[in-house]
Amino acid sequence: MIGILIVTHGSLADEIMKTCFKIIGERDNVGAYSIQWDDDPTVATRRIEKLLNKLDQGDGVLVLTDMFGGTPTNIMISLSKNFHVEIVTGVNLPMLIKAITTMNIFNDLSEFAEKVKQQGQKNIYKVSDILSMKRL
Amino acid sequence: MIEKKVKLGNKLGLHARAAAKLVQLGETFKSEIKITKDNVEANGKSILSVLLLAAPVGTELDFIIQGPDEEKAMIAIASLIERQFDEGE
Repeated sequence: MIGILIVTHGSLADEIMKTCFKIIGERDNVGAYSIQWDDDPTVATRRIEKLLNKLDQGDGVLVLTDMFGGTPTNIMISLSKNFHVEIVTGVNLPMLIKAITTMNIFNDLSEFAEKVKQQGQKNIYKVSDILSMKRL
Repeated sequence: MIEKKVKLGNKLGLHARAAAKLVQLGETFKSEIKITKDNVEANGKSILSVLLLAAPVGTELDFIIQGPDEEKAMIAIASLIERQFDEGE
């Protein structure tokens, strides 16, 4: 089974996980690590390593980060040499809901990461476009 | 194939948690579940698809269910909506 870990700046990771669980119910094999502004990156890296070891049940871990180029993503890139992970940036709520509700049907981490990336992008809307479509 | 229109009576309409409950119930059935509103068709087994319906209180949703357990699925879904998604409002 594939695991999911959310890693972000501030408290976003914990809050987006809690929000998602409030909607779809609590799930196993999902973790969050929020890197606070004054956290030591070395300490954060060690804690994330522990979480990755716990979440990797054999098929790897999909890591959802907030932004490419930021510390959370950079830490994950450095860890990707030693762990079986795929990293997708720009975590949002629809992306997370899709990831958590479909994690059981994927065995291939790379394929799963691609699907989650697509869903995260696809579910961003300009609302007026949707509303005008409905009026047709 | 069976079709039924069901009106949403709960205060928040088909919001995120209600959509999740509807989809989780739908997933327990083998039948294909389609929900339509204002020319938008949603897959009743996908939360993100169902949320696209943007259905507030009072909306009438058209359920089209097809498959071996279509009648049971329709009864269960209509009951969930009549119970206002068990939100206690």
